[in-house]
Amino acid sequence: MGTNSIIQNDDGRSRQAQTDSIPRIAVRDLFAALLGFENKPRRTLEDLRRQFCADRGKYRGDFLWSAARDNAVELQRLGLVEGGPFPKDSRAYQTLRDSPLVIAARGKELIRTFRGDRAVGYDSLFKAMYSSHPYLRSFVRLIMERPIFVPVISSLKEHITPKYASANTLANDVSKGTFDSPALLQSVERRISRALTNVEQNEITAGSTELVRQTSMNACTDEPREFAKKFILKLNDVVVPAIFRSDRLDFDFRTHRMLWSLGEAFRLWAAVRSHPHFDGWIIFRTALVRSKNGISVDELIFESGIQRTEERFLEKLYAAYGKTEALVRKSHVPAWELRSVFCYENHCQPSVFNRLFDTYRNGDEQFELHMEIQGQKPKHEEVLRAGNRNVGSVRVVKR
Amino acid sequence: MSIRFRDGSGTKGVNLMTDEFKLRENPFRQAEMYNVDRPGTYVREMYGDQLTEFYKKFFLLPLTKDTNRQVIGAVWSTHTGDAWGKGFGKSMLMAEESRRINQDLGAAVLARMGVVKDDISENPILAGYCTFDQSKEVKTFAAALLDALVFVLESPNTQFGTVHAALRERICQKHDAQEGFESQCIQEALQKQLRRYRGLNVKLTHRDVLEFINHLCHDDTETLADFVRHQIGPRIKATQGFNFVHIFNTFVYIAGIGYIAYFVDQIENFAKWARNQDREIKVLRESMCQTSPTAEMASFIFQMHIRAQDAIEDWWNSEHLPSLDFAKPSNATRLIDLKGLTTKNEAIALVGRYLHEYRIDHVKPKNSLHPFTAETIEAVRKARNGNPRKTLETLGDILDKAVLEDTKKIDDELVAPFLTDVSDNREDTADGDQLDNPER
Repeated sequence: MGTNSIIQNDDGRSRQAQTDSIPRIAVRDLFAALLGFENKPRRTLEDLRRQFCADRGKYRGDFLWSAARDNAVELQRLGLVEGGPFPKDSRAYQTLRDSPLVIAARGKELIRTFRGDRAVGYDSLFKAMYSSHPYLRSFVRLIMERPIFVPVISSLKEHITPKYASANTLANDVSKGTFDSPALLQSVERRISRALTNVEQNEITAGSTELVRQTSMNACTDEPREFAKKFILKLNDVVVPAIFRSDRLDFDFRTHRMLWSLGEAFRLWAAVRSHPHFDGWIIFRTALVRSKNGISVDELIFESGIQRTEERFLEKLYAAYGKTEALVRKSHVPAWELRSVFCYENHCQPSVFNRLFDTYRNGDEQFELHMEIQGQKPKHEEVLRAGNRNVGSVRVVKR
Repeated sequence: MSIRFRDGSGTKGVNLMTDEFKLRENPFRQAEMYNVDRPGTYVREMYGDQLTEFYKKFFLLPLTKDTNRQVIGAVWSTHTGDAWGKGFGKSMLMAEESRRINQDLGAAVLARMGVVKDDISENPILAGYCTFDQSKEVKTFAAALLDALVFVLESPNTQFGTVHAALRERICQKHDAQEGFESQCIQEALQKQLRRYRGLNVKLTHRDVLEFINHLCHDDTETLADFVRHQIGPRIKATQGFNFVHIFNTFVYIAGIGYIAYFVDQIENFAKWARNQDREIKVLRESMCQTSPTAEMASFIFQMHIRAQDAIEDWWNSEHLPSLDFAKPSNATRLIDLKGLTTKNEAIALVGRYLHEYRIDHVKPKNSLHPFTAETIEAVRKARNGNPRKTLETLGDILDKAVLEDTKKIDDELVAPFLTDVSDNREDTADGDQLDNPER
């Protein structure tokens, strides 16, 4: 259920916004939990927790109690199971761990759909989540219009100011109640390639000032590198909502991250970090979500799925290689950068690229692929494998 | 000293351990993981025939050769259903057998394996153990092997106190060192031998190298160990660590030791944490296989399991290093695969030794396995799929429960909950990989 709150627009006028809570779950876990009801219509939170533990091979204490709770809450919200109340903390979990969860008629229906065709099952689940989550709807509306660039801060030196190359300098500044906000604003403007509006500037400056006030004590006591890590995370919660407020994606950074991963699980959009043209994450659609009323999904169209992407794959790869080569100015381009460019240009999932790259790694009569083994790991993304080898860099040539 | 309770204090059950079970304390730790400083109870019998295999492959076979003694091998545990293969006693086997070898430079082991007496004294051996350790910033092969070097030097030796002292003594004897000038004599012999290796481009005047040689030739093992551990900086360890290993191997060589085996643990940490793995493996290959005297006399045995293999195999193969894949029959002469507790007797030997070491002095229990029975131990072994660590940890949990519940007899009712764990709840794990959204 959403709730309402008042927020300020760019023009200073206020509007009512619906708030939401995107669950911190993996869609795979949600299906695993639901399918567990197949042979046992009545289960408990503890059953769910034990199932997740068995899945991950870790069994200690009340490990994964919150994952069990979050999945159960979401299943109930979607009308797939009935149960509750649900615990707020681990202490309450001990009291509520055996409270029953019972499969609902919609849950049984989804299991039948999933068993009939997994892809249709995933699509049905997405449609149910779309109707239940306003944030998801806002995000889909925007991603269907255009790709989203998010200047996630992951380096003090590169994304704030070189002055903060050492975590000690940041900790010193924050402990004194100061922070280089102008440098942050400048860095964000450079990365998003536009000037920040006054409202955005004010929000980021006020947010970072408040963050400095809240964390100045921690800056004195915490180990500087640990402090810097936490500070960066919190800073993303200041910057990211400020930039997307005008697009009505004014939720916290973690919610953004969750939405990115939901899109990948449903094969509807993808998030990449290694595109050499962008200094940040770029999220783009890989399918079309059609909705007439904006509340429910009418149709999902996978227009750039594996079959479509496979058509003239090497030719498309060569084109993506050309773009990447021009950007990185190397004849052997990093494999994961090539993947990012390819997926962005062709609106396809990285997993689709991985599979096709492996299939076509030997080239054909027209194109030849030269690969070097991976030396360094990619910073943000999974490695690219071809023929059971990790690929570090790639060169595509026309024979 | 652990706490005790007065009779009738309402917590009488806590004394069950001593009064009923005849144990000083619970012998089984909650996390039975090998710690080189506190190795705990080592029971060789639990390895069964694999202990012989260990010696045959990593020591006897190399010693049958005159010049090409190097083995690049692995200690595996490929136990079904356990990709991490943890808890099978690989670390303990590698470290504790190394210690045993170093006690008498392998004499007892070689004698037990049937080597003739004259050949034993002609073929002294050494073994070192090291591990990649994220928390201590040991992330490169060179840094890890420096730890192995200290492990060897500090290892107790029955005749001379430490291996370091034994090696010095052997060099002095070989070179007729004049009394009072031993260190000088050793240093001259070492420098002379080092210059014979044309491929060994070690800058002998480098401050740390010079100091290392000084400490190595001097008789103060503690200062030497302290220097290697704490005074050689992490950057020098990472970039020049192998130089110290080559110098040490030369030192070992002039002491008349023709073979040394290095056991390298937690190799998956290297794959997980080290940067520039390709460069690291290249340096490893050059140092291990292309530099004398290491290439002739030193073997390198890596601890492996399926995930570690997955993590390193690309770089390993790209440098043409010998495959460590247990699935290839051609590698069988260089690998051993620990199977854990495969029989009831192995489990009983292991548990019996633990209990024996914690028995209260001069008190005779009902039987050597008291308060357990052989059947209980076997049931736990089977429930834990023969994994030694999990078997011991479960027995420890059972003992703790008995004490907490003031239960004098460890019977089926008490043990049953420990035999069914959530890990056995596999039917809940719906369909494994069949859950992912298929590509469209």
